[in-house]
Amino acid sequence: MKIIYSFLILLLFISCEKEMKKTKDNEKLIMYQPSEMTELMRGIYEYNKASKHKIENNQDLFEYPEEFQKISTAKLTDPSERDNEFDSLAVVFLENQKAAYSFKGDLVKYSYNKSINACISCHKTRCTGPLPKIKKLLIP
Amino acid sequence: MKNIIIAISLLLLVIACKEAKEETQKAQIADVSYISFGEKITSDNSISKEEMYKKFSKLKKGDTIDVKFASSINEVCKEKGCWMKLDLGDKKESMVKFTDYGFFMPLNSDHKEVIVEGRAFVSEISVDELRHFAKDAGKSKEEIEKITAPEFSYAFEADGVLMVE
Repeated sequence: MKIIYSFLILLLFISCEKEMKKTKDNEKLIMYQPSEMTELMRGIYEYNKASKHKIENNQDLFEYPEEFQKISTAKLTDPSERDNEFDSLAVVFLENQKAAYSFKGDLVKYSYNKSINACISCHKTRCTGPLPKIKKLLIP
Repeated sequence: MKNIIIAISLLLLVIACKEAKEETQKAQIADVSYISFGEKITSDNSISKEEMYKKFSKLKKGDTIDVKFASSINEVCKEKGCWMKLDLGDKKESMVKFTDYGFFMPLNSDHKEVIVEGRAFVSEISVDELRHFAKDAGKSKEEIEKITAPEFSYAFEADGVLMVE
């Protein structure tokens, strides 16, 4: 009788363990946590999208956002992607963004497009995902 | 007395097992439900990965088709989840990116079943991009440097993704 009980208990344990293993398969999904640079670039994108609309409609731009200067210091998802090329293109971007906000007429569009082209050049060799989205910022 | 203790132990085990089974059943129900990423899409009328491969095979450079297909993830970008490679059978796969870089997939979603809806086309991937993807996938420096020629790929731009829970 004891043997039968022991056997039953053993079977129940095995069956229970199998069920628990199946439940553990539903692991927690890990999502990307945006870096300081990612957050900054998302902001830069939205601001420039609004600027593009204003330039196309011959409206004055908003104030130049000093926040953009953080591009020189913000932490990247992959810190190794900040090299000399990144830093020099960041300078081109900042100079031409500032110029777009200070000029009038055709020079606004010229400087704006030059700043967006600096972004495109940089993203061609690192973090290529947003390229199609950034290209849409160019004003024909 | 011993028999009573054994009987109570058995009863407790049966209850514990029943609870575990209930949890598993909940998980099994969740198996047929989906987690949605990007634009909301439905699971109906999707074609299989084999049918998708046939469609890709007929595409020429410059062609684009709107389509929804079901497959499993061979590999996902380990840095951000900003691209994934979907199985097309016959050792072929499709490189999926997300419309306007608008959403990312979980970093640990390798081998998950998914349905994607968007646009399929054939594209050339530059050496720079191939090296970037290799880096994202955690490949070694030596493996990355071996990439010297562009590749043609079965590309897909997804507006929305449903992933089996």
